[in-house]
Amino acid sequence: MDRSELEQLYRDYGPTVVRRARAILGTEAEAHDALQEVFVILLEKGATFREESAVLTWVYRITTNVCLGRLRRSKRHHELLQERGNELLSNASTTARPDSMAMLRQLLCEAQADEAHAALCHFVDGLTHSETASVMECSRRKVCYLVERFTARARERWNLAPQGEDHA
Amino acid sequence: MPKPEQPGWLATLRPTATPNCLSELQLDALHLKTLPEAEFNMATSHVANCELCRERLALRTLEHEAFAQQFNLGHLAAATLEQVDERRPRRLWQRTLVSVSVLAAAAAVFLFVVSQENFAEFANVRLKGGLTLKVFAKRGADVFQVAPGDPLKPNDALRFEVAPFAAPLNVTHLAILSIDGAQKVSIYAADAGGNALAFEPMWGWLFEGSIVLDDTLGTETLLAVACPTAFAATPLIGPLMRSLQAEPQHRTLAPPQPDCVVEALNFNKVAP
Repeated sequence: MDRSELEQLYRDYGPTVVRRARAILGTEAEAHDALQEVFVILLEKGATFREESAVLTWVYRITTNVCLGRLRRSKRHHELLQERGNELLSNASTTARPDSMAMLRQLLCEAQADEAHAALCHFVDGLTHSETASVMECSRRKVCYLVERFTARARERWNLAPQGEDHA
Repeated sequence: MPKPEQPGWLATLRPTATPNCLSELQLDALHLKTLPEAEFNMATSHVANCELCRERLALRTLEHEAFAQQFNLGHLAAATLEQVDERRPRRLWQRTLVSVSVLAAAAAVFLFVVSQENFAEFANVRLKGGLTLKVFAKRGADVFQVAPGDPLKPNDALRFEVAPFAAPLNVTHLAILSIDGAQKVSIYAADAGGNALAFEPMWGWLFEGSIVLDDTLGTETLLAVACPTAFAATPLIGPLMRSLQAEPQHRTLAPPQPDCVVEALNFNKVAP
């Protein structure tokens, strides 16, 4: 791929990568850091790209994997555990609305890769199980299982209603 | 098994006007005009009647404009290509896949067929289930992923990938051995010196090069061995061959290191 082709690829898919990375990682700076990583992997894995899969689902998949990797490595994970984990686990009667994305990120760090990927597609991107299966290149049944498992984990950790009440 | 009740906070992650609103993927595809015709018509019809999705679609246009202004795409593309080039020399040594045929044609034919169940009885191998190997086959002009149990054919070219997070994060070296229908043991993935290949468990790894299958039919078992540090794959062949002669419950594969993980995949190689 030459530079002009890559520029066009950035033009077409770069905004999607940044938007998803920002949603997953939480900051603009981290999203921009993830952007180039995603495209490096896209170029390196280009040889295995199966054209019957949409480029977009491929971009989604790689973006999610890169961001999950960053999330797990990030020091922010420890900050989240310190700031949000203790607060949420010990302050059961809080009336403040929990930061749903912070809670999600904590769960994503703890979940296995496939489970985290399915959760992101389903709960953040709003993909159906079929769409998620297409992005993850697995069966719909597996996606259902992964989403259920993540939901059970979320319920076990923080079963809070939107009003912030503890339903433990 | 009853489905767990979804905690309310999960629903707040993505507020939508209606359950029929377009997903992020659909909106992106609509914006890029990559939807098939029928889906495109349905999506545009929904957008015409949904203010929220119209706003989301309009935001995408603004995002694209802002992106082109915020980033110097020429410099970004050049930097990306440079980074790809920088990473390539580190993997040059991985490009050579060595297929070592150990058994001579006159060697005894093993009578056992190694199945995944049998392999699970190898005494001192911990099948942690922590490694997922993807296998791609190229047959003619077609490239496709193969799952265990799928048929393979002579002259299929196989490539291997460890997907991101598909291995424990402490394992960094991988070798792939095979046992074919004639119980011949080969190394499918190693460097020129018969040593395991290094990879990044966090990012996943597509191993360079490919293995072309010969015309031996029957069960083809791939054994992926991944360990925390470098190890030689060649010394695994002898013990594996010897163990195939034992009863299943006495078969052993001495892992090169204590914390190795192994995945066994069985395929059926059939006639063209």
